[in-house]
Amino acid sequence: MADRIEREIVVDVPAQRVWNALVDPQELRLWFGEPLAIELRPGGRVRVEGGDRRFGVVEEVDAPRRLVFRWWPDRPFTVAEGSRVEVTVEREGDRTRLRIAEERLARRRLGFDARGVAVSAR
Amino acid sequence: MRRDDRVDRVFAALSDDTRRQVLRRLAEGPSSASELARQLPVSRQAVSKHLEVLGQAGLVASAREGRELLYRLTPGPFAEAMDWMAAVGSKWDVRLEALERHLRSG
Repeated sequence: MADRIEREIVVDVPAQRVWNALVDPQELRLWFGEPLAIELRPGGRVRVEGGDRRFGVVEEVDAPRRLVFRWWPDRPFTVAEGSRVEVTVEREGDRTRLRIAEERLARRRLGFDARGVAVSAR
Repeated sequence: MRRDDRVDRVFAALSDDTRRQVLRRLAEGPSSASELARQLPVSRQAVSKHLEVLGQAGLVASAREGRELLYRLTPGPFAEAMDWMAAVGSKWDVRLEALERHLRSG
């Protein structure tokens, strides 16, 4: 019974174009609103700078169709509420349907291992 | 508190008609136990016990205002979930609007 929101848009551009806009740092800078970097592999880092700093980890990548990651507000060593974000890019003829779902995770206590990768510990 | 406990307590709290009446009165504004007892067909002691159950369920809280102890509704888990959904939902609305403009601009 997790809290979850879903949003979708349909755009008149090819799926690959939409995918690139979601993952390429140069393009992200043009629309996301804040510096966002995603290391596109399971276990890769997600980093948002600026007013709403976040860090996270990629769970799934299936380019150019699906990207799933978890992210948390950047307040380590405190109980921080994170969520899972699922991004789905679907071709519909010449158009593309982009779906975003963000679901709240249970609260966990976070720390960092020696490599600086976020791990959860209870 | 585990979430199941919280949900159980909330349901137990809401299962009593007098407690539901207390919640309805508090929805109009904070009130003391005495004032609530005046408005309801139950004793002051009974009202205090009901307020205790509602407090344990996280549905009401109290604060001292001068000489009085006033009870009020707390936002509770459902309102908090709705707040989260509204906040996160509108963040995505803003981002997706920006993405659409970006994609349309070629």
